[in-house]
Amino acid sequence: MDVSTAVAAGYGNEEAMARAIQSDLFERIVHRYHRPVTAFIYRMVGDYETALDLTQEVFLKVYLALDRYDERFKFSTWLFKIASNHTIDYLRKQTHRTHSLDATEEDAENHPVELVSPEPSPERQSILHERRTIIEAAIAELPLPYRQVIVLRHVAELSYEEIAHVTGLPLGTVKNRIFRAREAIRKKLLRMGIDGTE
Amino acid sequence: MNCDREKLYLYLERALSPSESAEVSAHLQTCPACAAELGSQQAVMDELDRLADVPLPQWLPERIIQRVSEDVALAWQTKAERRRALVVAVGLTAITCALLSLPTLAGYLRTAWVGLHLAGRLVWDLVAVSLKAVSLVTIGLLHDVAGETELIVLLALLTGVIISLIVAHRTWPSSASLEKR
Repeated sequence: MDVSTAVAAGYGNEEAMARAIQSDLFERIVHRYHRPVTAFIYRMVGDYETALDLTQEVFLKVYLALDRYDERFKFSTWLFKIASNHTIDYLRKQTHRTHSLDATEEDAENHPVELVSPEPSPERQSILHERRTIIEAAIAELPLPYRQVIVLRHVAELSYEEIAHVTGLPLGTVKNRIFRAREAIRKKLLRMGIDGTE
Repeated sequence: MNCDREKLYLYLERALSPSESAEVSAHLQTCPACAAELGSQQAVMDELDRLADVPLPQWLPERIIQRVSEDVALAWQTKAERRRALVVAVGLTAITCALLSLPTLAGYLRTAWVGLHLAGRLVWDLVAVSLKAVSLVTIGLLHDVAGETELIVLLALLTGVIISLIVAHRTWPSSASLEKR
């Protein structure tokens, strides 16, 4: 039985939810989605242990909210909405990261996205030599509104329409933010002398 | 078509309509700058797609299931304890309220008792007045059809009834006497 079908088939109360966990519906959800959810959270927070903890919290929320799942929406979209909201709540509580999180929605639309990390030291340069490492760093430097959509697109592999549903943003805004985030990353690579075509 | 970097990304993602995609393909044939840009964008997109590859510990799914089971069991236990505490609290509150309201309740009962007596007296007064009125009307009607003797006897009977009613009326307990009780 498909997970979405099983969920829609009726697990609408505590007793049924208990049955769900016993009859492995929830286990199937976990086995099927724990990888993309953990990857999404890891790319958002940039810390592996924190990502593992947050993943467990997200699945607890998913379990408790199973009876409120609306079958009109794709299950993965619903699940990533929970994951995204939980991760952003966590990040907003992290005061030490205010430099990127203070960007308001208006700021996000009106100002160019510039990744202003200081010039890397020689040691840092050697670490950042690989393109992937640089991109990971660039993702971590993106302001939250941009990081959220680019990670939902490339890590959670959601469509533009699904991202619009998860974030509650207009489709045009989602497309624009993803474009600007990609360009910011590409320009960072170019500034560091790495041509994408290498 | 003009050079449009955003559209090139959508072209790479196959997110354009067939006609738009054909338009971009034609443009790339004639624009070396956009062709070079496309290669650069493709490299970024490939790297971004690889971000989904995050090595995970084998135990993660089991840990998630275990933690959820434990947390849910704890939540249900807490809920049951809260429910018991709520029942006890409601019971104690009800008993306290009942004890505190006893004097007030007694006052209400007493007032109701007095009210009942007053209502009875009012009904009695209405009956007496009605009988008097009926008597007078009856006398008036008989005056034309009966003789002097019959009329005097009837008047005596009615007077007796009225006097007995007045006596009963006077002996009915007053509200003031009830208040004193």
